Amino acid sequence: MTSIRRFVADDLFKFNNINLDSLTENYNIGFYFHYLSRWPDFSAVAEDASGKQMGYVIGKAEGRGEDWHGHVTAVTVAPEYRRIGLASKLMDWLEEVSEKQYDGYFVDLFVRKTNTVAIGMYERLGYVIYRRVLGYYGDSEDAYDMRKALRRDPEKKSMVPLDRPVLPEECVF
Amino acid sequence: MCILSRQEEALVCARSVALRGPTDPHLLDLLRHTFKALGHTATLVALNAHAFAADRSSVKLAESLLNAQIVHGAYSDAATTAMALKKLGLKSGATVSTVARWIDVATARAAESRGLPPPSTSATINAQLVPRLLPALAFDDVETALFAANALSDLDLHAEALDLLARPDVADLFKITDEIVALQAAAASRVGFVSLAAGMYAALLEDSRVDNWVHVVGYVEAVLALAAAPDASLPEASPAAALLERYGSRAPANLADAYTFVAQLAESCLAEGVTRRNPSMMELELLRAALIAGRVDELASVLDEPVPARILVLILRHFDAFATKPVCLADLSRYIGMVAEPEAVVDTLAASGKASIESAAGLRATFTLEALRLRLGLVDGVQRLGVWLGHYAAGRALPGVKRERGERLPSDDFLLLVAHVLAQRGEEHDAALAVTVLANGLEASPDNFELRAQLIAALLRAGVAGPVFDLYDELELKHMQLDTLSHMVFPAAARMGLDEPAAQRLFAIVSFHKSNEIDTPEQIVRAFSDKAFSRAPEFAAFKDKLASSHQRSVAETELALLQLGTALSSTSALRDFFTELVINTDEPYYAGLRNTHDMAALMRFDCLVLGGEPDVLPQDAESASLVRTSTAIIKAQRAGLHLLRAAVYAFDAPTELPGMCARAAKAALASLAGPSGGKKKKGGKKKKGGKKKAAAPPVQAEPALELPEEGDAPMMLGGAEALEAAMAAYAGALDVVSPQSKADVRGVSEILNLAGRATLAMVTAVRADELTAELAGDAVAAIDSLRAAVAQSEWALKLAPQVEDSPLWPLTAGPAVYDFVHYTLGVVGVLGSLWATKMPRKVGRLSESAQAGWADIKAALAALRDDAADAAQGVAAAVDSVRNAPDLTDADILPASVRTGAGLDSELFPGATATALFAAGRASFVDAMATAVASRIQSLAFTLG
Repeated sequence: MTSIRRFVADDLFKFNNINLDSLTENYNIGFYFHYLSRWPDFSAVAEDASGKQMGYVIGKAEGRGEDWHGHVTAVTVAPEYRRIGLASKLMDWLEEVSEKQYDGYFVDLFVRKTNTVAIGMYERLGYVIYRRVLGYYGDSEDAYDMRKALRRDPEKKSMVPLDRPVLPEECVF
Repeated sequence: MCILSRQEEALVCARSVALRGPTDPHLLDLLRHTFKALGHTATLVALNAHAFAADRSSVKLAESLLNAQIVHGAYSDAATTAMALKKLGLKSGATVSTVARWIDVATARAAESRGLPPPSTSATINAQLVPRLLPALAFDDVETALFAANALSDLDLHAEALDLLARPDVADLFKITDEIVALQAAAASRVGFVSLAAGMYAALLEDSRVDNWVHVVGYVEAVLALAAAPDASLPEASPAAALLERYGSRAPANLADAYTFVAQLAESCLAEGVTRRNPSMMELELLRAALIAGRVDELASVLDEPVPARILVLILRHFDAFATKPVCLADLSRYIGMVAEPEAVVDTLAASGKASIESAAGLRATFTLEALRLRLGLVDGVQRLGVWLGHYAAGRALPGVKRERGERLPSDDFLLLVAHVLAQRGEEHDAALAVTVLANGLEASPDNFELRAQLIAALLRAGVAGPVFDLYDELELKHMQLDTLSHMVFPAAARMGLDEPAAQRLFAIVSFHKSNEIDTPEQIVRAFSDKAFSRAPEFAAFKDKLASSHQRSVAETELALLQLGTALSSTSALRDFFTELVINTDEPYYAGLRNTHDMAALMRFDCLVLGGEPDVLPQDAESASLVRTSTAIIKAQRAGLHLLRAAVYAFDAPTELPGMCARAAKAALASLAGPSGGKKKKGGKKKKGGKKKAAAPPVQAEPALELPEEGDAPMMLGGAEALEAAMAAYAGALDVVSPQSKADVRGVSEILNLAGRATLAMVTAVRADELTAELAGDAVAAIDSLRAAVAQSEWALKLAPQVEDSPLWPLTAGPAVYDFVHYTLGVVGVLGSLWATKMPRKVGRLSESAQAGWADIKAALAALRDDAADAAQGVAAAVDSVRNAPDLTDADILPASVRTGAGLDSELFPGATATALFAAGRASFVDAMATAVASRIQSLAFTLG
């Protein structure tokens, strides 16, 4: 029993079965509202039959020219709703918005280099490691920038890996 | 002498500048910041309105005005400004003005729904205007169209909303077909075009292979409505008619057809290897709805077997596919109650072979079965504790079980189930048992936040304060979580003697709320700027909900009480405390506090209580009662603070009450008044010294005060009148509060209330131009009430012998002792403020008849002083006994018989864990308590001279 709907402000009152997870960042109100206001159709919540939140995805559109793409800012699932393909479902949703609503070339995301579980999942969903970003996280850990081409990039040029690591400032669109 | 705090001083200066209508941008910024920080929103609006009037071409000034109006709750005016802002900076033309009009509508409706006064008649006007504008309107983005549709729905113009969404130019804006079809289907359902809705939902289900559960629910509701009532007629000319032509043929003719469709769709999805849960549950959902509606007979023609047998088949199918997933329990809890012999069903599930304790997947299936048995009342949870702990131990011993970062052990849920059962039973050793198992579980699974949260709850139940704040900090709560999750520890932990750690964390909560008040309106303005029109009213509603958070009021009040305790070290500190105490003169949010506790993360298994509704979280059931009772207590506590503050200022003013005192008294009254308020008596004179029989309910007891809102000049109130009125309101509030929740109110609030009342009575008597016997009598009666309350509060000390035989005595008695210390705070506050005055000077001016009354007052005060001193000694003795108690041992915490009975005879659960935690908690608790009590006894001695 999974419903997907737009993320709304009131979700901030009841998403702690997701956000208490040690790997999920809890941002300030302004962060969430910025996303809801600037990209109002780019964030979604999965909820069960009782209205309890199961997971969510937050994203945005950015870039210019052939770099125009959807970006996954956060995707996370509550522990009790794991192992049922929910993260995959949320990613599908964001990819569809990126492709149909925003006409992007690809979808990308950043993941900690050591988070092998997540990297494996993204690879199963069709993402590849496009480049390594040095010292991307606050604790200096490197990130992988992973990408998946959309229909607008039939030759999948956006997914051809870079042969050198980059600095965080090189990733600004 | 008129005492002004720094805040008051700043306000007086700022307002005098603001009244001159400044236009300098830097000065405007400074003043905006000042008034915003002080919460003087009316002045903020006036300041910005003046600035915008001086330059109506400035987008920035329009934004500032809009921001201020939203902060002030002037939504109707905000809509007008929004319209001006849009014309200035964003777009122009008919679309803009119409959308702005809808913004007006939506914000006005939002204000009304929150119980605020209707800002204008615009909702009515627009209900007539909008449909006429609609056909000519062009939309060029999804957000504007969505906002318009929502606004129409807000006006109950559902047919118009459907027509708008059905328009080809609007529908084409949505590039994701499912989204617009789902919106159209929902709108059709609201209008009553149920066959259209059923057809559209059928299409959504079939085309997406049941990808979205909300479509299942929409379909089921539509088909049930379809058979129950004739479909509303659809006008041929409406855009929705085209939808009917397209989707109407996909609607089922009756419930049996609908069932056939659902069953075949589920089968085909499963045959295709769709592994998601929605198809598996869809048929069950339709059967459930038919059962609830009493219409299963209509399915007889399409079912090969009786409904209960079919349900069993479906449950087995689902269990077979999802038994090893943690979510399986929630899934089956929704449907297991539909079967006649649940025990047989669970036995059948158990026989499927999915459950075992030899693999992680098997353990999850085992857990699902155990939890289902508990939910159905098939087992006694207490009797199963040993079994569950055994399963947990087996899970930890599984070879190859690897815990990835952020993950939990597969058998952790068994510990949570144990903690749930222990919390439900609540016997003496249960908290210690829970602490033992949870602490050991957390050691092996440190990322399991549910274990950590339940450990905090168990420690608080056991009266162990020490480790609680560390565990709370380990949850790393930030931002919104400070509001939605701090109920885990507050107010309970604030009353356990660790004043400084509690105050630090309470301050963080209070600061967060201040940030919301200031920052969120800017987000609302940004939503307008971003053309995310549907988000603007959404953010406004969010801001108001957070501003009226019940937990916010808890944090503010508890922090003030803790700071009051610290301030009691001297009369000057006491005066400073009241001078610095931030009191919002309006405190509008106390009129309608809301429960914003997020329970989803903390009470996952409470739905397992037999008879409980699995889909209803506890907060829904308990919310109303929690807010009602707790709000009354908080109001009384805050009123006590306000009145004590008023008393302090009253005594400092030799001939007249300064404005602050008056406002403090008014704040007290406002905090006691209900949301509807009471009628104000303009300029009415009250009979001085008359008996003020308490009126109930308090909403009728609002006093006849007519005070300037934010006046600078000291207000000549005729102090006695104002304070007498305050007393009357107070008494009225007590009459309502006390019977409602006597056990709670007898705590801090009652003493503070009575202390304030007694203080005011004495202030009145002393400040009156002529002290009459009646006034003196009032004062004596008030003091007698206070004495009686203090005497009653000795229950805290009397509690001690009752639990003295328990090994946990020092721990269970601790909070009670601390409450008792809080009781004395009110007494000390009263005496401190009294002793700080020059009462004898006044006595010399009393008439002869008043002398007798004054003698009574002195006698009462002497008795009160004795009571307070006795109380302080009692507290000191209690703390000494805690400090000198022998060290706890394992046997004290969990005797062998208890350990064996609970199945804790395993090296996984050493008693030393609980003992160590308890000892650490006790040590920090005793130290904190000793410090706090020593300080308060010292201050008591000081104030008593």
